[in-house]
Amino acid sequence: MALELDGAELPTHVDDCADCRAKLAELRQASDQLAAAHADLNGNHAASRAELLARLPRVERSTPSVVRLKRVAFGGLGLTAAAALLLAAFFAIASNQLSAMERIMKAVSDISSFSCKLTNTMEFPPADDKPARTHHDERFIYWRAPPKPDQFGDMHGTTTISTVHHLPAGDAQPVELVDVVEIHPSGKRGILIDYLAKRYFRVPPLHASDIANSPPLLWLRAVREKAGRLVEDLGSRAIRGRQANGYLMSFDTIDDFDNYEPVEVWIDPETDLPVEFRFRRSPTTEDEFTEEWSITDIEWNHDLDPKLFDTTPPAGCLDITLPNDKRSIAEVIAALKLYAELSGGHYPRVEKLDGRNYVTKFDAEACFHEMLELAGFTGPSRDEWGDDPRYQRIEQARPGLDTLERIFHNPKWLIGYDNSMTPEDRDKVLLWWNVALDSAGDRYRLIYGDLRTEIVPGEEWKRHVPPEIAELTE
Amino acid sequence: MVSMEPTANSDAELVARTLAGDREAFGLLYDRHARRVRAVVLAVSSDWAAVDDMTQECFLRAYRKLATLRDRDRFGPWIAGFARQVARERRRALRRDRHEFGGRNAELAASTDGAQTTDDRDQIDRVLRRLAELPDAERLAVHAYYLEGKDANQTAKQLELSRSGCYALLQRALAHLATRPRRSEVKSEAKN
Repeated sequence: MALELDGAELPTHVDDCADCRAKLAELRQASDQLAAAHADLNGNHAASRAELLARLPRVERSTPSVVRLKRVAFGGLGLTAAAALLLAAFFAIASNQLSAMERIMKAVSDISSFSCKLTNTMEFPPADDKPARTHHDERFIYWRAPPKPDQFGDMHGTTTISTVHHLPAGDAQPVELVDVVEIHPSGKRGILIDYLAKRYFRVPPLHASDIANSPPLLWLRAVREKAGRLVEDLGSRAIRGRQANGYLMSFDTIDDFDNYEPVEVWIDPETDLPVEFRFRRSPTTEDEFTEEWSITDIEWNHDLDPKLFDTTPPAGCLDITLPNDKRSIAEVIAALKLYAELSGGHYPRVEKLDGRNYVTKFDAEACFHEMLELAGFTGPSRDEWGDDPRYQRIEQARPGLDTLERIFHNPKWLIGYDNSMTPEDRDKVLLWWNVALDSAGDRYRLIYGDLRTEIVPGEEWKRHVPPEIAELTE
Repeated sequence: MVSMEPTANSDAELVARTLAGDREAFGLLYDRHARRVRAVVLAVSSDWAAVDDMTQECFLRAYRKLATLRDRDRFGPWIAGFARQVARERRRALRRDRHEFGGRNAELAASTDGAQTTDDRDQIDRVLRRLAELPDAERLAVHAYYLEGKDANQTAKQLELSRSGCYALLQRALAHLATRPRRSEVKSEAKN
């Protein structure tokens, strides 16, 4: 063969075979051409080395970062990421691109609406006995400018997440994990609808300062605080029939964006608004995941159907909004107190289930009948029971039991319950739930074993829950 | 003149010294692994003109993240990961038709040897165009082999293959590259 392989043996009949000689000549020629093409690539090694070492003192070295668990979008505020991210690139200013960036920033400040598609793909390597898998997250987002500056605006977002396991015999079928719509009208309570679980809950109004604390919103925060830098002009290309100018923007000097690669942004030169952008997060170790984001199909300043921002829940969906009004709290406590009296000092047992994020089961109707039995009302229902004050007390506990059932339909990072608690456990938490997902920060309603109750901030709450639960909110 | 030959220090020792502030230790890592990085960025991006820039970017990222490297003896495969990442970014940024690849690289090849004839450059151009179309493993083997100065042992080591496995890849690659011009290539050149 043409390779200069020491110890290799050429076919012995080459001297007598014209075809083989011709073939050998072709191979040698190809090899020589390759050698010529590669010849100069190592020639600049010394100069490149010197340049590299000279740059090293200016490069900050990062310390190992902790992999953060990512909350499922059902927490809701993740969709504000898209709106925020669309603004992120506009704050990246390079000294030689000020005029271009100033035009972009001005264009952004005048927008009245946008819509876009946001996709996120996470690739997880195999771990222990689990195969590699891919999460794919797809969202469509619609936004209208708010009537007041302290509001976030009208927001409508749909999120679907699916996962596929890469098995040795071939890919498994994609499994749909999440199918959620969230709607946040300006200045009003929003709604999150989980179409897979057929549940919804109401959330407080969003404010302009509301930003979920997860990537890619970390990008936005750091960009607003310390501008990124323009590292490359990507030229232009056609996107959906329009010419767009591309830029690569780097945020690698900002600690919060460890492992994030430069953002590729494509701007419509006629409007100075972006039409598309993408970026990646790459692993630093072999067992970390990679993540890729793209925001495409961006349309600006067009009329959006007002029905997009209608918060009427769909028929057949269960309201699982967590309570925060005095009456509901009082009813829950009264129901728990009565159960403890009837049972001789115990609280209802809540069944823990496996499966997605809804890990508890509480049946209000079944608990009601259990309480009747504990009070001695056994057998088929009788009319005269209604006159019995004990029966009436149990009837009055129904609203509290219904509220408890609603609470226990929520995901495990929003509620918790300890079956082992009794009325003697004064300083331990029997039941907790999240009461606000807003700019005031996470707050939690705690009901202790002795049925005292209070609202505490997140840091206080973490002291009462297992570490694996506290980590879910980080 | 800076030697590109590896020293007696292991990669783990050089990484430790770098983390302790010894820049020259990082220079030695560069000497040891720059060719591998060049081979990978070429194999993934096929952008000959940007090899130096991409190589330097890989090492800068590696330096930045050096404290996160758990197994310090695996510096080579680890930085190869950065190389793939940088090259993919480059490829994404290029946004050019594959047929232009040959033209750009013919200029690069021509600039290295003023004695080359136009026919020589055309043939190099054709070979490089075919090279870009090879399977990833063959393309990487070719770049690694020629960047290592046709040292098959070093190439096999760099690719983490046996010597015979490395030969097999290279022979397949060369066989593909040495095939007579396809009709489409002849037509394309005639059109230009």
